[in-house]
Formats: sequence, structure tokens, C-alpha cells
Amino acid sequence: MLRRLLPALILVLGSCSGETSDKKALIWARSSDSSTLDPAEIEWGEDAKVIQSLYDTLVTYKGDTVELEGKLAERWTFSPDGKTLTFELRKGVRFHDGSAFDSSAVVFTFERFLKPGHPNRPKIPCPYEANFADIDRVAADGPHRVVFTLKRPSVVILYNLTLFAANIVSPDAVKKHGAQFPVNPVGTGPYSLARWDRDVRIVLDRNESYWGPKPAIERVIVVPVRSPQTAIEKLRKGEVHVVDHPTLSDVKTLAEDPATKVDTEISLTVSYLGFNLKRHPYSDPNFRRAVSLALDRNTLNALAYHGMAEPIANLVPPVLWKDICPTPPYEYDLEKAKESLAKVKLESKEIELLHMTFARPYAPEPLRAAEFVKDQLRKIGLEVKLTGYDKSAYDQKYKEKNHPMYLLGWIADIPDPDNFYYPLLHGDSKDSMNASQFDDPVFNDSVTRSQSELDPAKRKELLAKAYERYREVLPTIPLVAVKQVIALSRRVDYNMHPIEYRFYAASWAK
Amino acid sequence: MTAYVVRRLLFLPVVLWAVSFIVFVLMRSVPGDPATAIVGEKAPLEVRQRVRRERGFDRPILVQYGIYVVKLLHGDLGESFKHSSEKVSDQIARKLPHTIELAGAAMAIALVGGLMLGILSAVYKGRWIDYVSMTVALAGVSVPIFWLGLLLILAFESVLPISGNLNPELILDSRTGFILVDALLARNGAAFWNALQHLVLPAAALSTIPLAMTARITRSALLEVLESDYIRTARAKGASPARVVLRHALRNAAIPIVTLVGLEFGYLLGGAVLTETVFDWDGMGTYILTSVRETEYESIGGAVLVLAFMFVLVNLAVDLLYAFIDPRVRYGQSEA
Repeated sequence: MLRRLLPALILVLGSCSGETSDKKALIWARSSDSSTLDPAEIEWGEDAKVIQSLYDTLVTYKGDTVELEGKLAERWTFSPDGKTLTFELRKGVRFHDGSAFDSSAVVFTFERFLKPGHPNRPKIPCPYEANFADIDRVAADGPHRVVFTLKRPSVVILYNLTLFAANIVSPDAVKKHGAQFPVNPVGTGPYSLARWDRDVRIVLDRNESYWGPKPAIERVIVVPVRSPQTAIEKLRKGEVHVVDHPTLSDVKTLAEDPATKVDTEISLTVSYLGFNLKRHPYSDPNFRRAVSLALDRNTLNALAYHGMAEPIANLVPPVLWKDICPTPPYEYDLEKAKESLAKVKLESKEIELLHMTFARPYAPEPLRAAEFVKDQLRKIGLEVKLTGYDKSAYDQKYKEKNHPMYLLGWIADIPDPDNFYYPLLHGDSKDSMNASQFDDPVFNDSVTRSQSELDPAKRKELLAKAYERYREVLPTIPLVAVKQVIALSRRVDYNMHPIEYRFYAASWAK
Repeated sequence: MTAYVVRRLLFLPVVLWAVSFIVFVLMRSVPGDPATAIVGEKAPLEVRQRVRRERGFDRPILVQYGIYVVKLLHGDLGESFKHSSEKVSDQIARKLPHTIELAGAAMAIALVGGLMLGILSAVYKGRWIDYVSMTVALAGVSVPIFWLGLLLILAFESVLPISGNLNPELILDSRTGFILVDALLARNGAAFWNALQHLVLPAAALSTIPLAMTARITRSALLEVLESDYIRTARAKGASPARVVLRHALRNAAIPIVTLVGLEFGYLLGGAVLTETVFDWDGMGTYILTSVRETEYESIGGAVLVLAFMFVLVNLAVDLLYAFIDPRVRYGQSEA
């Protein structure tokens, strides 16, 4: 070994130059590497980021809006009863492996994770299965038409077809690679996978035969840099071009630095305070109202979000609710809070609050948020005991049946109020994210009916009714809607989207 | 000698079994649900239950352990739950060389620095060099490694890379897994220098404790030897002071030093968690840390087993080195 290495060492030291890769690459830093590149297996944002450039869905969001437009589908029509959805597919599209995209690929993509016993089922069951539960059947009608038969009319099905699992995969590649498909992804997207060195980098090269507008940047290298501080340091030194997880406390200096800049965009991410509705005193509406009245969300925004959030009074962020019904702003009034608390039979002034000890998009500084709640509630005479947990333990703790109050949040998957009310508050969701165990017949009924109500005016009424009920009972307390923040080198322009990460929307600054 | 080695090797499975059992039970007693870690908190209950059933998380813990041990006996360390399509053995094969590289570099710094300080302070006992060296050594064992790491980052961030193993745009095919070696094999000078630069700070931070301990033990072992008769004889014979220390004294002082270095190397392999975290070094330490966070039972089990295995082997190698250093040491024979 040594004998082989020594001459090489001499050669290398002699010829040391700054040789790097021949393509000019955009280097994008994020908090963690992908765990899979199989769309059907994807569960969290870090995995989703990469596949949104590798694959295409049938429909997508137009520009940086949340309006829908066709992608692999040129257009679509609903049958009058709303139970059949027909897509006309784009012609002449090819997968990265050269195979043709047609209706059989669409059918294959959906059957693969929806049909029990499918021979090419992904190894991890599709975490987003529930978002496709309304689909009864997907069938090809000729090579360029696909018909989705629904179990009931669905208002949100088109939105759900923008989700990760709905990215169309190459059936040939799935069959060829089998269990190794997650590391050999083949889609039709604007970038294709050049190499994946696990935990080090994912290299994406521009798909030169892409059917749509080609990305401006030839090569994107996505690298995990766990610590945001380190990532920002690398950004300042020019080692990376984008940091998508900057610490909020650094935003000001990054914006002032001549080499870097900061962009923000609305997001569909909210934070809230949840209660165990089966346990006293949390089950008492007067108690919850008192807590809500005692929390000054503007202060919370300044303390725990560095002003990069917006106080909310409804669990659905204003951008999605503005056309539905007016919502009065949150109320902060310590005297009223004390009055409300006086109506509660308290055995002890001590209550418990569960909080995370790790940052998430809706809680970039979870300890500060928890301390804020503690301080505010002390003002109305409550002593809060804080109990913090790390990631894996927290997910379990707040779902335990005897939990107290808890700080949590939600990153919506689709831009529709239903994606807040149903998973977080509907009786059906008690075993997943509705950890408050809220199960109110009026609320449930309004939400369920709104899911199939195709008449927009009637749907608004149903949602408004659900909101009224929510406000009355206050099963959870909405805190703030969070903005997305991204730090960039001034050499790079990137058009942020409220929901998706699109590497193909980046370009070199002029 | 052979009998001794065989006996030591026979002991290895017992150690590994104990380690695997302890890790298995510990991991399952801390809160956290692997099914939620795999499909996420948003997944409906039935999906989470399906995962639990399919992966056997719902079975009694001893049954789960039994299945795990049977797999281990077939040489299968299991698979990553979340990183679909990846085997634990592949992950470890990728991470372990990085950690060995880091620990090796740290050990090299520690040996050179530690021996130098130790020899100087033994030779100049009671003089200012001695006090300075021993103060440095004391600081080395006392300073918390993560704090030192942060200080190093603050001091050198403008000249040296502060995180990772290699710049991302430098693409290197992995042949041996050791980045420096791979860079040499690929004759990629840029990658070699870059990797070397990345190695400096974490290796320096990691080297402080073994450096300090080597310095102290070298000093005390040397002092003891320097008092002995044969050293006086050597001096009387007219051997140069350097020759007396390096040739006559150091070799006889070597056994405690080698023991310590061996043990330290074992610790470095497993104990680099803090250093690797501070410097975002892609190795066994960060691997274990993320595996714990993601409730990756089999990754943690596999990593700890491999480290225990290496630790035992390093110790055995140290024992065998004794015989090489000191011909009076012979194993498995009664002393005449």
C-alpha cells in the first residue's frame, strides 16, 4: 500500500492546484441529508426539497403563488358530480432514463403506494397515504389520458396531487432497481441525480432534455450542514451559496453584510398551544380562555421569533382565510384573564407545559417560547412547570393520553384551510395530530361536509361555522404564523415559494 | 503466546454479547417511538401500527433481542429504518474510516507533542520547562473539548475550514473510505490539501487529552528510569545525554506509555462524539448522535458493537506490543 501511495503523494504535492469540478455549481446548505429519494416514502421537508427538482407532478403551483396550473398534465376536468377527475397528459415527455412518460406511469405511481400487495410497494409505507384516501381508482384511458375515480367529491384532491408521493416515477426504473430505487431516483424533473454521497452531498445536474423551461444553473450540490451557525459562517466565507436554515438572530447581520442577503416569504406554518381536553384543569374552557387572554403574541413574536412571525387568532393563517370570514384579532387582557381563571376550580396553581428542546420551523427557539408562556401565566397567578424533550421523545410525549398542555406547530402540506382543521382538530385525527383529543360533533360535521362541498359559497359558510365553533370552545390557542427565511450569497437569486423548495428557481445574479 | 492470543480472542464474543445486550435494553427503555420516527408524526395511526407490526416493534423485547442476535450471528448488523435501502454495515463502513482518520491524526499529534513535553520536563525536572510543560498538560486534561473546539473555530475560522471533511464541490470516489488515501489514489491534489486542512482543527482539539496524558506519563516513567543504576553506568561510559535519554531510558519507560496510548486510541475512536459534533465531522460520533435522535436502534447497536470490537482489538494489539518492546515479557509461560 505504502509503495503505491508514496509516488502518488509526491505527484499530488507537486501538482497541487485549485482544480475543482468543471461545472459551476450552486452549493445549497441545509440541516440534514436526505434519507430517501423515493417520492412515496417521503415524510419530511428535507427529503421533499430534493425530489421537488428531480420529479414532476401532474399539477403544480403557478410561479410563487398558491394557484394551481398543469405540469405533467396539460389540463383537467371534473365530472359534474365531482367524482371523476380526468387529466390530459403532456406528450413527448421522457424520464431521465429515456423511457417515455405516459398514462401507465401515472397509474403505476399511484397504485404502487395505494394498492395493498402491489409488487413494487415502497419499503416505507407512504406517510401521506391519508391525503390520497379519497382516490378509489386510477385508470389509463389511452396513452395520454388518466382518469381518477373518487370515493366522494373532494375539494382538495388537486392540491393533494402536488404532494410528494404524487411525483411521477419511472416504472422501468422502479422495477429495475427494486429496493435500491430510493438511491437511484428516476423522474422527469428539471434536474437528474448525478451522484449521492450519503451524508456528504447530493449532486443534481440539469436535465438538458427537460420538457419545460430549463433551470438557469447547470449543477446544484445540496450539502448537509447540521449547525446553522456553521452554515452561516460558510456562507460568509463563500463556501456555500444558500443556507435555508439560518438562525433568526443572524438575520440582521446577514442582511447588512455586503456579501450576503436574506429573503423571506410567507409560509403555511403556524405555532399553537395545545391542551389535553380530557384532563382537569385543561379541559375547562374558562381555563383555556384565561391562558389565551394572558398571552401577548406580539411579545412572543419579538422574543422567540425575532419579529419574523405574525400573531394569529385563528389556527389557519390569514393568507388562506381572508376570503372566508372576518376573524377578530387576538385579545391580550390580564384582568379579563384573571376573571376567567377565577371561574375555574383549581386544586393547585401548578400546571405543566411540555415543550421541545430542538428547533423546528414553527419553533426556532423553543425554550424562549416556553419561558414566555411561563412568565405570562405567572402574571395571572399560575405556576408553570416546564418539561422539555428531544425530538423522538417529544413526538411520543404529546400524544400520550395523560399529557398536560403542550407547545406545538403545524407545517401545512397544501394551501387550504382543510389542511389545518381536519388533521389538527377533527375527531378522525385523534390518533395522529389532534393530540388535544378535540372531538366536537358540530365542528366535525362542518369540516367533513366542507371537504366535499363543490360550491365555493356554501363551502365558505361551512368553514366559517367550523371557525365559530373553534373560537367558542378554543381547543387550542393559535400563537403565530411563521415566515420562511433563507440566507443567500449576493451572487445568487432565488425565487422562494410559500410551500415548495425549487432548486430550479435559482439563478446567478446579474 | 499463541495460546494467549486465542484466549483473548475467545473472550471477545462475551464482551460483544454483553455490549449488544446492554445497548439493546437501554435503547428500548428511553422514550421514543421508532415507528413515528420512520413515517412521521403526521402519519395516521394505522400506518404507524403497520410499521410497528412489519418491523416487529410490537413483540416482546426479549423476542426482538433474540431475532437481533440471530441476525448478528449471520453477520448482519441490520438496516437503517429511516434511510430506506441502506444497511447498517454500509453506513459504518462509510463512517468508520473517517473516524479512524481523525483519531489517527489526533493520536499522531498527541504522541509527538506528548513525548516531547514529557521528555523535556523529565530531563529538566524542576526547571521552568518542566513547569510550563506540566501546566500545558494539566490544561490539556482539564479543558472541555467542545469549549476548546469553539475557541479553535473562533481563532482559526478565517484560515482553516471549520466543519465537514472535504469541500462539497470536490468530488472524490470512495475506494478505501479514508479521504486522504482516496485523494492520493485519485491523484487529486486539491482534494488532498483540502481534506488535510479540514483535519487540522478537529484533530488538534481531539488530541489535547491524550497529549496531556502522554506527557505526564512519559515524564513520570522517565524520571523513574533515569534514577536507575544502568543509566548512571551509561552516563559514566560517556554516552551523550541525548543517547542516554532516547536510547537507554525511553525504551524502558515505554511500557506504561504504550499502554496508555493504546487505551487512548480506543477511547478516541468512541469518544470523538463531541469533537465530531463541534466540527460537523462525518464519522462514527455524529452517526451515533443522529441515530439516537432518530431512534435508529439497529444503527446504534451496530455502531457500538463495532467500536467495542475495535477497542478490544486495540487493547490486544497493545498487549502484544509489550513483548516486542520488552523482550522480558512473555505470555503464557511461567516465569523461570
